[in-house]
Amino acid sequence: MDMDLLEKIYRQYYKRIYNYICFRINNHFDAEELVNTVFEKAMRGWETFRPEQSPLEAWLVGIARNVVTDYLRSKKRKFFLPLEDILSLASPQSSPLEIALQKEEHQELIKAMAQLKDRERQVLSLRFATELKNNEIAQIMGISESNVGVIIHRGLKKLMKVLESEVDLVCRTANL
Amino acid sequence: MQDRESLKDFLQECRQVDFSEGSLEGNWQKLNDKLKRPEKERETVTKKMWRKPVAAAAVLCLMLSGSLALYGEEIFRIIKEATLGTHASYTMVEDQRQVIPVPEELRGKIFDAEGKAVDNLKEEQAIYNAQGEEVLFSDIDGTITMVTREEHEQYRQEQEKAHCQFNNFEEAAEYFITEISLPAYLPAGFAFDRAEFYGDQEAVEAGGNKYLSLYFTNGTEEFSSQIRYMDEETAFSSSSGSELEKIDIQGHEAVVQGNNVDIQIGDVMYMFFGQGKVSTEDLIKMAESLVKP
Repeated sequence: MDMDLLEKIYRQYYKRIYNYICFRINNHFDAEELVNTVFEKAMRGWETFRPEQSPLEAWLVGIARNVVTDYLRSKKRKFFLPLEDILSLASPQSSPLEIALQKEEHQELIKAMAQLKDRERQVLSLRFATELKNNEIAQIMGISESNVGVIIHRGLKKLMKVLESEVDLVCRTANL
Repeated sequence: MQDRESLKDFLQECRQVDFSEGSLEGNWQKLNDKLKRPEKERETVTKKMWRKPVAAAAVLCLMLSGSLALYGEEIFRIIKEATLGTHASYTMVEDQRQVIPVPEELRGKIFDAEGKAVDNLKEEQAIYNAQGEEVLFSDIDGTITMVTREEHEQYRQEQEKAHCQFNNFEEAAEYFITEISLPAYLPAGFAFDRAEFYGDQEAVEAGGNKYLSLYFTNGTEEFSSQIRYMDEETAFSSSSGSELEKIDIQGHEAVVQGNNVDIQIGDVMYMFFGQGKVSTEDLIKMAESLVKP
């Protein structure tokens, strides 16, 4: 793949891949690096892309899913004191992106997502961030299409419940 | 019906969330720059990412000794190198200077026990921040970061919560990507305590796990070990000032560096960390007991 094609694909799918990663890892510092890893892998593995088997977005999301899995696994290297993770907690600088992320609704949504089961979080991340259809999500996740529907329905209900209880708590605290 | 409609609306709201806002151009530039860099330079970066981050308490000098690519090989002379298999490499380095100047980004931010700003670092020197808290360091792609013990402890506890723990080794081994064993030999007084995978139970039960941490205890002290399936994803390189020796254990390559012993058996690396609680000889015996006929 040449750089022109990469740039075109990057610009078209950047937002979806970025958002998918953010929903999965909840760390926008690392998300910036991971999103580029996804596109770099896509460029290097371009010859393995089979448009007749899956649309480009599904292929990219498949790569992103593996990149996120590798990232989460790399967190296991606790013997090596991965202090870099603390960076995101300790960094005093606020980038425009960070400020944008501090919007209340985003934070609440991310916090609520963290309370879901891993599979629910994975499916909802795909549904929220990408344009993939349920049957394409099913293919990526290796589950049935109806199961995807059930997980989305159940996950959304849970999310709403968590968010509503947060709102209740805020209102009670503020005596509203 | 109303429930269904509200879920549909909620889904649409969630789909409006955009974390990427304003980041595309800068990020594209980074990728563009990276891909245009010469191949050799990119390899160095990749290897650096594999490097085992050394962040021993307040021993910045030791940490910097791992930064060959960053600080130049003229500062850290390579004494010895060794590899295990194709995905693990080890370097023994010697700092050629008596003292190490504090990197620019830390100037004026670190102090000694008396509160005096530190300009030059020596090994085993405790370092404090402006508030007088002892700090630890790490090096991420050339950026030196400092955190307090409290922050590190908080992080460690969060990590602990995310671990899936087993009190039975055989049970844990079932979830590892390939067959693994527990050393038959254990140092006197020590017994297997627990095995831990990173991730919640559901993630661990999904299988394919490539890292497993083992803990051994004598009731008062603890030392650890890590079992790691070696491939491109788990590859690492380690650099330290400690003596490095490559040995053969029953036909299997092993590396002894400081109070650590690593042995690769097939695709699996068994890493034993004495942590000053157990002798290196005992760690070698543990490694031997994995391959004894």
